[in-house]
Amino acid sequence: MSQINKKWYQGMFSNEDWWAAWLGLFFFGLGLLSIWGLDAVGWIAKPKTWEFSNLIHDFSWSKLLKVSSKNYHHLHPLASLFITYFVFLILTSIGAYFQKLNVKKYIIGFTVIFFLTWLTWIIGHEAHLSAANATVKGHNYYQEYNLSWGLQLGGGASFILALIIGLIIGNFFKGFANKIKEAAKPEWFIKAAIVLLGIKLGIMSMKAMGFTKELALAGAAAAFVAYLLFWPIVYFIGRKYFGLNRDSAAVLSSGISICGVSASIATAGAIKAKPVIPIAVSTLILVFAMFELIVLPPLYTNLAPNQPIVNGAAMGMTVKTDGADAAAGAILDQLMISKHLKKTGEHWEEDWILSAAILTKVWIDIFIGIWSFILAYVWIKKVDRGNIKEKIPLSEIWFRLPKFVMAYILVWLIYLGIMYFFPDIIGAAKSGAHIAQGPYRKLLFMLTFLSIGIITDFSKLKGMGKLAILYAVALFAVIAPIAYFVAYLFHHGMMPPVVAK
Amino acid sequence: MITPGEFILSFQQGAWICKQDAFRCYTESLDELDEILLQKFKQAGYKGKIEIKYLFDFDAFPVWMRQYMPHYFNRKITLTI
Repeated sequence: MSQINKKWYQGMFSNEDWWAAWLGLFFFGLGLLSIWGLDAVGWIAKPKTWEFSNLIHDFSWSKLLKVSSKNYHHLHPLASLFITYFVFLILTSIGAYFQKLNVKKYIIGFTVIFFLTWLTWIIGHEAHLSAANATVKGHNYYQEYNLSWGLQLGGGASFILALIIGLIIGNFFKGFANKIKEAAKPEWFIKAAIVLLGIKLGIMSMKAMGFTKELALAGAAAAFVAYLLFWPIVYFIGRKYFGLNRDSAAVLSSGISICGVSASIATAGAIKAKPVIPIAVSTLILVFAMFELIVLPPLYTNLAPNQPIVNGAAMGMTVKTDGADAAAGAILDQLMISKHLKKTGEHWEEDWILSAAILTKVWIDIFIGIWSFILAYVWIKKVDRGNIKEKIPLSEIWFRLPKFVMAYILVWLIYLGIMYFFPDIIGAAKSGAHIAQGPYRKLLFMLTFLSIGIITDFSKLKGMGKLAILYAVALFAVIAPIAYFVAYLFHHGMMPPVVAK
Repeated sequence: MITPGEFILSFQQGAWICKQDAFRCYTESLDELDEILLQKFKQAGYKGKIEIKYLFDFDAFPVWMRQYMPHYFNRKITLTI
């Protein structure tokens, strides 16, 4: 069975990008039912902050988990967890079936990944790891549990833990990793989560329209400026100092400069390079993305603790692949909020730093389709001129356009529409929206963290030789500093709203 | 026997593979493939301009990569005999 793109609607039910859009839109739709007074999302479980000795002394599941909405208060926390499992399993298995994955393997893999994710999520909520010594939403868990020490990582503790466990499985238990890999789909999970982040952007717009608009426009401008600089510099270094041929230099330049694996495939396709080139480059990108994800959030948090939005935007331009970028943005969001809270007692609203990282990446994702089209044209006319007359179908832009981004923007626009045209129902819309963009999105993020670790195998760096060296040089000497400079230029002075002091 | 129109393009073990019904062609480069098709059409008695569309079969990519981008390329060329 071949996988070709001939008609505009092809792939709607067979590729992950579309399925991310469907999954995100489905949860968004469920959340929207709150407008008519129906709570169709509140059954989902969410973790609670707990303390080890307190739990041992008097164990109760309700100390670890709770149901998301009071409309479902009668549900036992474990029942809520199992409902969450079955709903996510059924929905994603339907997607897996249409994507022609091995459904039996997927179900087994998803079950393992789901419960491992919850285990790490619950452990990450232990007060010594997560609680900050400050009052947030009426609670100071640090003092309520009389802690003598604490890492005060906020939600970042769960993310980091999931990543570490995923990496241990992916690198030290490779047989086990292979058994569950069918369900380790970080891009699918994160793209669905990004669609739900569109709700958050909508809610943010309701609160601070001017700032949200400024953030979106600054993200677009920064992404555009940065990539006009990144690509030619990396291409030049690759050709001049590393002796790469034109095809390899172009594919690598896009991979490092634009949006990672998707950009390397799109560019290779545009210049009609042999598929072995993007396959090699993509392997490299995934391993390096993991380094970026581990190193950059704590680095930016400590180097520039007073530039949250600049840090988020710089992250979006530096970390490759949507999964790693969103994951890095989420860790940065939590680390910076916790650090600021600890230092000043002031609590920044969650997700603005993450949104800065996502918004720059979303523009880049859109940009890649257009960039590939331009590159294809340049390649035919200037670089690889043959005797055969060749045309580039305009449909190429459509096939390369990320559909989850369309869903993300659609969700945002629907909330903007509610704000402008139906202001009376904002309150009702928000109640479902908060749950869809909260526990649902966070669960998808957690699944991404574990999955991305499982599929990252550092040993694949072996034998990459000069490509790996070029990647490291370009990333740390070109991409990261320029991205930071451009992010500073466009986002300087922007601060997330303060929710508590 | 080949006809103008669509061909499925794939890549395996260093070679481009072009298919249309029972027709199969393995080449090192796309230029070589264009040339072979040109000759085949010529031998079949075609004259003038012939439009060809190559549709790349994304199954040629490893499964783990398909989550990042579901499309490689489609290519439209005109052969003049």
